[in-house]
Amino acid sequence: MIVDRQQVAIIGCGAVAEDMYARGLKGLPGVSIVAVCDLDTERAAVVSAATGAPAVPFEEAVTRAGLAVIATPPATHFSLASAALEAGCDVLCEKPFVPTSEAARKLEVVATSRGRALYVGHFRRMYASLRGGRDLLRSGVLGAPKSVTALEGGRFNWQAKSGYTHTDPHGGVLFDAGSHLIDMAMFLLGFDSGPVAVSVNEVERDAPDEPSHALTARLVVTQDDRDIDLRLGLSRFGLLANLIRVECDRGTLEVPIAPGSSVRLRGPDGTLAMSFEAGETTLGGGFIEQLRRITSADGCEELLAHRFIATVQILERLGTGE
Amino acid sequence: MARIAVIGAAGYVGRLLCSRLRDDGADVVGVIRPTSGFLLDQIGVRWLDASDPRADGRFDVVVNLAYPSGPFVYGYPDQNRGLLTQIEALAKPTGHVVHTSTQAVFGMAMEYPQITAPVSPRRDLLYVESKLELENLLIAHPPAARLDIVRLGNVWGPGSAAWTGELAQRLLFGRPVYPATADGFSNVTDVANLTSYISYLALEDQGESGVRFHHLAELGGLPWAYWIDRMAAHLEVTAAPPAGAAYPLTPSSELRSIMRSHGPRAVARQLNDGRFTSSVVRSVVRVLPERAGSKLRNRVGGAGQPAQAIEEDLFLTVVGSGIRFEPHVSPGWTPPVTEEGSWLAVAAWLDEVGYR
Repeated sequence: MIVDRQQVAIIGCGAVAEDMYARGLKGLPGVSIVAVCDLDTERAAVVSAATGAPAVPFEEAVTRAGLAVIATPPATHFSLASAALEAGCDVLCEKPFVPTSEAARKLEVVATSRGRALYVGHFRRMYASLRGGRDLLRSGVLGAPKSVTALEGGRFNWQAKSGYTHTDPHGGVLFDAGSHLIDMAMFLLGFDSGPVAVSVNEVERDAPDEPSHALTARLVVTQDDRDIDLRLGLSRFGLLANLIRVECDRGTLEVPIAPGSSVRLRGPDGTLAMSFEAGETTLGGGFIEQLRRITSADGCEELLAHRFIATVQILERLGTGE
Repeated sequence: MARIAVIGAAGYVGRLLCSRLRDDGADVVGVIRPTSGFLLDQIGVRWLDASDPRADGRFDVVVNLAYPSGPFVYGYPDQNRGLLTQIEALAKPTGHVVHTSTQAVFGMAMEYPQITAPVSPRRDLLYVESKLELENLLIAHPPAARLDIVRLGNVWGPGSAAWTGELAQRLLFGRPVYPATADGFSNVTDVANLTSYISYLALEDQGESGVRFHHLAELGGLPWAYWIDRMAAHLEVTAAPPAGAAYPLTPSSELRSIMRSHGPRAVARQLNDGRFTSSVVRSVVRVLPERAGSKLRNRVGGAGQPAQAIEEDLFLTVVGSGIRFEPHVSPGWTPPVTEEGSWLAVAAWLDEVGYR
């Protein structure tokens, strides 16, 4: 059964729904926000006023829509995405996707059994610098990647309406910024085609359990006999270098975390900033392009849920400390 | 022991200032949103919920680092009045308020005359307008016997996102760091000097009652090239060629920019991002009924949040300024950090956070 993905329901009316999804979807030609929903009726009213869509219960929202955007706190992603799929919607789930690879697989089973598509909102994949960096690595010009250092830090000021970023075990820096960062690294390396093996050597965080606000980790990620040493640094306390550095046999690639068009190459004979034209160079542009691809079913394959399984596996291992 | 409240204590300057004041012997309390509490918990500084500023009595000194922010800052007059109310609730009437403002009250390119006196409100970029308005609100309604308004130069130092981090990212990824030459005055204040100066004002300077103005850019006489060349060498990169772009800073240059736009969307974007026209758009949005205002603000893209391209031009405009922000500080204060010390601290930070 084909559904009209341009008829969209926004499930969850927090900050990301108001600031990003509502604005982004409204700007897309042919796309209509047909319903919004939130347990907090005040928040639902705010987003309803901003979008012109009625605030309705979840069950009604998913019957009106062809695409359900799940923009609720992470703890609810599995149940709401599952229910929306069962109701016949395609689903775009905000990151972090779900906390375990088992939950991810279960959702994929539901999606497959219902003939529906399930996407995850990792819009940084649209950035020109990341896409260009991936193409460079694929070209083999730098040789085989050996190790990756991924660093993202800045003073945290996202005002989540529900406060989940400080209370939910999946709301800390690991699952919040970390899910983006790890996904960027996996995408860059081409490790987004399926499951990986994860061996965690070291984890340090500012709190005994999640949610944490600072974390460093060293791990080895393996896929198809390719082993990569991955070093992660995440912080909500202060600025880090905010880059991904890939050490390869013949040189080093540095990719910015921030949206942009350029990467830096370092080799034995010098260094070069290289710019790419294809892709988005702003956060808003990346976010909207992700929505455009999904709502128009144009180039959205790389946003399908199964492309994020490696990220889920790494988050699961680091989150549980197992 | 002086009791000091710091509004906006969870920010970059705020956390460093709280630590400095505590080290200098003050009893410091941060006034912040509870969701930022972990940022002060980490450095062992007590905090108050900004929505309940009376919860811990009144303070001898109130330092305000906060300013309107958020996605819908077009409503900054309400936010500024909220800040004034907060400061009034925290400060003893006989006490002392130190309010931090910005050199940008003299224009992003420092194009207005620099005076150590009130600056008249004017239509300008949202950031400038809101800073000017808050200065003038405090002057018109002094919340304490003594009010020090400290206009800050470009805050530079380890971990400064606006300048140190921004320059490092630009250099590393080949983005322009200056519009024509790097000879313009950097107009910087090192964050360690900044916290030292505010601590000095709060704890040592025996100023008289009334309003005093301070201009802080103790390392501002150095050209940008001083910092950029060192950072580029440290990162083992070469600065990208000059960009040549600049933000239109006069009504006529803004008009020319609008005239060059093609199509209604482009014109709307120009109106929304313009230095003077955005001010008019904000005024219109504020007086419209909420629903109509909401529609307009969505249509024009936020009525106050400049597009990334505009931010780029603004950065280059500030870097390209050939006008020095002349320091004006209390004569009893000596900056603890020299230019060389400032650079060495930044270089160490670059290494520590993974740039090398």
